[in-house]
Amino acid sequence: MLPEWMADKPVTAEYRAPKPGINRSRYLSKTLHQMKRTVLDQLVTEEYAGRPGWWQGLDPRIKLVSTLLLIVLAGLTRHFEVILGLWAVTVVTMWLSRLPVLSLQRRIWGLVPLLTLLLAIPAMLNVVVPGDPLLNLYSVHHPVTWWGLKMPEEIYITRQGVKAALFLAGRVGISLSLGVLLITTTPVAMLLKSLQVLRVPSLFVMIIEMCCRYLFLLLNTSIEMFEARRLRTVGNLSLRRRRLLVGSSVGALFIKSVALADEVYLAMQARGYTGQAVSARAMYLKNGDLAWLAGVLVLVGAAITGEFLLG
Amino acid sequence: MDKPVFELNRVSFGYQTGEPLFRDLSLKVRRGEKVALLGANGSGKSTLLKILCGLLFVKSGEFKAFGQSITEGVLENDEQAKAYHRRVGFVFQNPEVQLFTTRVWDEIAFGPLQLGLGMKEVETRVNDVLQMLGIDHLQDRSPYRLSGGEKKRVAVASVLALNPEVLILDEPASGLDPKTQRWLVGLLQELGRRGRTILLASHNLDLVHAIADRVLILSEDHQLVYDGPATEALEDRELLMAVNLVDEFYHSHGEGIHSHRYTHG
Repeated sequence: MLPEWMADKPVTAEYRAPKPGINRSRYLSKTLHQMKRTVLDQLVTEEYAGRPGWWQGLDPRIKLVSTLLLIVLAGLTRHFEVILGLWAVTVVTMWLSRLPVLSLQRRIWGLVPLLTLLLAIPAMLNVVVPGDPLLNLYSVHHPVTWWGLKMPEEIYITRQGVKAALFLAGRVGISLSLGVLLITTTPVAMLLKSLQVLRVPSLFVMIIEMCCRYLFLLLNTSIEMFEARRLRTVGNLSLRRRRLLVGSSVGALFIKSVALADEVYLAMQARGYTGQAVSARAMYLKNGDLAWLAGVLVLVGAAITGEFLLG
Repeated sequence: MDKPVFELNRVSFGYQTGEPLFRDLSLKVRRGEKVALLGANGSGKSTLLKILCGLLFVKSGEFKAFGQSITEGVLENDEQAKAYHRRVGFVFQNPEVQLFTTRVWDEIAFGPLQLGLGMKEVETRVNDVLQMLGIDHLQDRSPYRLSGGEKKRVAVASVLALNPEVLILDEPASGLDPKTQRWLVGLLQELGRRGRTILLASHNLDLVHAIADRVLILSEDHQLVYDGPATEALEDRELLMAVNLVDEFYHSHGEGIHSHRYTHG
C-alpha cells in the first residue's frame, strides 16, 4: 500500500530555470564527462585496431619487437636526419594503417614533446651547459651580486643546448608515435599475448589483462553511480558534502570490487584454474611479418653502423 | 542402478560470519536428471549450487560426487580439482564475473587450456562452440562491447567448451530478453536429450517448466521442503506461496483458458 503522501496526485513544483552561467553540479558533470571520454577513447582505439590496414595485419609480436627496436634507435642516434627518417616512417605507417594521421600527429606532437622542450629550457642556458651563444637573454658589464649570489656576466641560450633539447623532444615524440601506432593497431588481448615473446610470465600477463578488463567494468559502474547521484542532486552541495560524496563513492566501489574479485576467482576455479595460468599461443608468422622485421633490422643495423662510421 | 552424480548426506554449511545456512540437508541427483532448484531470494540456492560445484565446502555431513567424497582437502590437489571441474561446469548468474579476459576467443579457450588440452584440440573446441552458439562473429570482441544476451552466450560457451557431464546454472535467464531465453531453453533441452545432467536455480517458473523434470524447493529458512516431480510442484500453488515464490495472483499464461483474480494493467 502506498503511504498517504504518495497516494495523491503529485504536486507539480514550479520549474525555475537556473541562472545562466551557474551549473549547480558542474563537478559531477565534469567527472562524468572525463569517465565517459576514457571509455570512448578505448572504443575508438578498438575500432582502429579492427580496420583492415597494414599494421593491423602484422603479427603483434613482430610489431612489438620492431617498435622496441625503433625506439632504441631513436634513443641512440646522434643525427637529426635519423629522427626525421623515423618520423617519416611513423607517418607513412599510420597512413597505410588507415589511422587519422593529422589528428594523431596533433595529439602526439602537441603536448608531450612540447612539455619536454619546456622542461629542457634550463639545459639550453650557458649557465648549465656552456656553448656557443645563440640568443642573448641578459648581459652586464660588471659582475652583480644578488642576495649573496654572484650573477654571471651574461646568460644566453646556447646552440648546443637548443640542439640537445630538440633532440630530446624529437626522441620523445618518435617514441610516443611508435607507442601510439602499436596500441592503436593491436587489440589489447593480442598485445598482451605478444608479451610472451619478451618472456613475460603468463601469470603476469593474465593479471594485466584482468586489470584492463575490470578497469572498464568498474569505470562503467562508477559512471552509473555518478549518473544516479547526479539525477538526485538538485541543490547546491557544499565542499564538505562533495568530499563526503566522493569518499562514499570510492568506498562503495571498493566494496563492489572486492565482492567481484571473490566471484571472479570462483569462476576461474570452476573452469579448472589452480594458480598456474596457461595461455593460448595461436599466432602464426606470415611472410609479410618476416619481411617487415627484416626491413626494420636492416634499417636499425644500417643506422647504427652509420653512426659508428661517420661519428 | 547408476551411482548418484551428487549425494548430500546430512550436510551443514554456514559462512564464517553469521548463522549456519543449511542443517542436515540430504539429497541425491542422478545421472541425466534435469533438476531445478527453487526458492525465494536468500534461500541459499546459489550457495547450494556452489557446494555442488566444489567451490564451497560443507562443515559437517558428507558430500559425494560421482561416488567420491568431495572435501576441501581432496580439491586442494590440483589434478583432482581439474578433473572435478572438467566434469562439473558452472555458469554464474552474473556473466561479468565469468568473462575476465579481453577477448571472447580467449575467454572460451581459458577452461580447455587450464585442463591441459593440446592447442589443436582447444582451437577445435572453441571454434565448434562458437559456431554452435552462433557467436563466431564475436570471437575477436572484448566482453565490455557485448550486450547482456551476448555476454550470457559467451559465458555458457566458456563452460560448454569443457564438455562437462553436469551443467550447473545459477539464474540462467536473469536479465535476458524473451528471444534469448527461448534460445537458452532450446539449448538446455538439447543438452538434456544428449544425456547431460542439468541443475539450475531460477525464479523463472516458465523456464523451470520447460526444462526440469524434478524440482527441489528451499524455504526461506533454508530447509528443503519439496523434492519431487516438476509438474506437481509448479501446480501446487499453496506450496509455492508458502515458500514466498508466488503470491495469490500467480497464474501461468500458457495455452488454454485461464481466469484472472485481477485485471492486467
